Amino acid sequence: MLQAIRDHAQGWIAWLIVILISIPFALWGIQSYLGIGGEPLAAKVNGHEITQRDLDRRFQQFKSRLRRQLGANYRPEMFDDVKLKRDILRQMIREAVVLQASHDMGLRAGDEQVRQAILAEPAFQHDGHFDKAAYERALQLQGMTAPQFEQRIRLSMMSEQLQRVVSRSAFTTDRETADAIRLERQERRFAYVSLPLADFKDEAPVTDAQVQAWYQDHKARFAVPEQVRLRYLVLDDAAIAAHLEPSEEDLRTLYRSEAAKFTQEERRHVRHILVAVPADADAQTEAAAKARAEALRRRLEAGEDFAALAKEASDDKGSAAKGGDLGVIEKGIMDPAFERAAYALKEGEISAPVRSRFGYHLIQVTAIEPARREPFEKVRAQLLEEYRANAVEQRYYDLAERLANLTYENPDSLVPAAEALGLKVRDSDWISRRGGPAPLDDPKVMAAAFSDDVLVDGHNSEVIEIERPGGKRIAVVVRVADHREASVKPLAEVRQEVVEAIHAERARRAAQAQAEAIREAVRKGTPLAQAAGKYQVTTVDFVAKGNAKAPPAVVKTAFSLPRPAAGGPTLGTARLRDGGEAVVALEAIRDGDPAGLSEEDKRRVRDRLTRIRARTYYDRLVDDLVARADVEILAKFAAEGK
Amino acid sequence: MYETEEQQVEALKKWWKDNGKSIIAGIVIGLGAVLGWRAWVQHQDRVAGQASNEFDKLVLAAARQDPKAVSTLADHLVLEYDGTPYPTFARLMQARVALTEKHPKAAEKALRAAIESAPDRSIRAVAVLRLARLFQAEGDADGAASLLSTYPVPKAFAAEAALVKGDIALAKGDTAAARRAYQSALDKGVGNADLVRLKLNDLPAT
Repeated sequence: MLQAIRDHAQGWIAWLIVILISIPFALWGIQSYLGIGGEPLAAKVNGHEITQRDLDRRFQQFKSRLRRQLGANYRPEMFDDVKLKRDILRQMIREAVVLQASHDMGLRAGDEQVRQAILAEPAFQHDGHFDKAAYERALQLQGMTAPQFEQRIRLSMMSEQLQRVVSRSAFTTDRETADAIRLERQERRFAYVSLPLADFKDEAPVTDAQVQAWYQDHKARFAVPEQVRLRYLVLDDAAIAAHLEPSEEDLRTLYRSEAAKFTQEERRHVRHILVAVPADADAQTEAAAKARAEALRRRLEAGEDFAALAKEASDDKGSAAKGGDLGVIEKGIMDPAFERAAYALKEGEISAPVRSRFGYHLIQVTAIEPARREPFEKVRAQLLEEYRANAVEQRYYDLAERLANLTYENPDSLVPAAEALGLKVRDSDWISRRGGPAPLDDPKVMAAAFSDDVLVDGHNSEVIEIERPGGKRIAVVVRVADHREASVKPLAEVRQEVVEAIHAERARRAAQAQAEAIREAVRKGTPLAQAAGKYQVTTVDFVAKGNAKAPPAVVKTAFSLPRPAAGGPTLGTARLRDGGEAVVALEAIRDGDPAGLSEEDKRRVRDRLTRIRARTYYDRLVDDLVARADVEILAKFAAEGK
Repeated sequence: MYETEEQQVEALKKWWKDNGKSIIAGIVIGLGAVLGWRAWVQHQDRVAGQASNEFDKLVLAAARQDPKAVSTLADHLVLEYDGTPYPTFARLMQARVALTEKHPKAAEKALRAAIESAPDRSIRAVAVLRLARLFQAEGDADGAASLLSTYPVPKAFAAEAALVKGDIALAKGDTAAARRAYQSALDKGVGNADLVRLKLNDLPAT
């Protein structure tokens, strides 16, 4: 063995050893690049992994932000979750690509920049200064070490910098600004001739063959979708409340447990005279104050007016002005010593000097409001309401569960459940998959109504819980009472409709022909007014697009027609709302004048153009990076529902 | 193979004497290469980090429209941090600042340099489109056109390029080509579609 080593040791074994030793060094940490671990992945971007968990977390964050922003307007069905998730994944892929590309281009964040960013982060500040303890706490909460966190900051700074380069260096030339002003503030002068459909009525008889042919060509128009009539039960607050007829005893129990709410403790109207004693008073000052209080009390006993004396001598300046009046007090408000004394006095009696933490008080009770309790009868309605509000919540689960059991055990009828729970069996009109009036407008209800179990097998649906605006929950069970397949209305039923449609079509054609004739005449040099004949010509003088007073279709045409040459107006047509036609003649264009704008307004236009261009160029830059990246989408977006 | 323990030890010692130096040298060289590489990468990162920091200062100077500070910082980045993307970025910023100062020639020079030194084709495309628009605004439609044909932009920028080409064609009086270019810009999702639609509707009838 050793001989063998010896034989080969001259050169290459030594090198082999060196290479073997180098491998662990070179590959140190490679597992974090390869992503060995086996978590489900949503996408791979140039080998960088986006896990399903990251995607789900971003998705949840996005939704809860929406919910916060929209508040009571939030409806879960407003959003197509599959599409939303796809968009979020696309966004995450873009972020990953930008990050990698920034790194590959050689962008870096310097230590100093990272330090500044951390110091400036509001979450780590306390009283406007960076707080190391807050920083460490925040990291601990996220389960990160300081170097990990710094790395994260570093990376996000890199991608931000790439965006900053592109957007902050964006510019708009003066010529571009002037062009935009010229176009955006452009005014146009035009005239139009309206050819209302009513003027082209053609009520000539329609043959059966024409009706038949038209009906055949427009069958889709008479299609009736598959429809059902539903029978259903709704468990809502009102239905639950009906179950809640509490006994007299229930209400009395609630009354007792809520006694405090209906009880008014004894209250006393008091006034006082204060001889203040400072908190750090020595024995001598203390004694002097007490003596003074006693002297004041003697004066009161001698018959001096309380209010007048308070005004003269009380150290409590606030109350002194009001004759020492402190108003009505309840227990638990005043200094304990004061309170004890005040509640021990009879009405009108004046206390001996009472020491509180403020000093010595002479207290007088001027009136006593005895304790009072609202009688049960008076608050009974309030108790009932409260009882129901509390109980509805609790009873909902209980009743929903019973509803589920009863409708499952009697799959061919809603009646047993309705009877047992006191619910009303309701019937809908014919409705298609698009739903009917609430609660049948809920997609979950309609999905259940058209499911095989309900539609084909004729069973009760499961209990469907719907969250209504304002957070109220209701539970619904549906079954199909009647069903009809998609069909086409028979000709006999729609004959009149077909005849009317044919008439309308003839009128439209006639109006179009007339419009074409007018255009042709104008093209050949006839003035519009003359070409229009008996139809009215309306002229609209120079006006900006938003301010033109003419039918919207006419304005749209007038502002999309090409610039008229010297020879004559440019012509177009517009479809009026009643189905008639309008011939539009664009006569002249007056461009917006940059010289007419203040510097401030010009700057505003330029800044807007720059902003749009900055965003566009950056988005296109990222598009180009993504186009070159090796992106593999692994997430499955199951098509939920239909 | 060997008679005694001593002989074995002897042989080992001899072997070590013959080969020890090369083994140690090998280890040292291997370790040195790995560590050296790491140190080199770290050094590069540190240098780029410094450049990044300087560039952030430049962005701030540009934001307060201080051309003197911008040009000092840009010169510094160009001279000291070749091999990082920051000289290119500095030139892009410099072009914007020069244009605000009404120095289109200086802006042109900065954009030319940015095109030459761009670290990626997407950055180059941004610079090319900006320079073409600058030429066009200065009345040099031919210069703009030849720039765009010298440096074709990637597909992602096709809509923005079509917009510039439309402006060029219009400046040369070729309404039909302008119409085609604007329409193509709209079809490919140009950024400011409202304005391009206005441009399209403003073309004279052909």
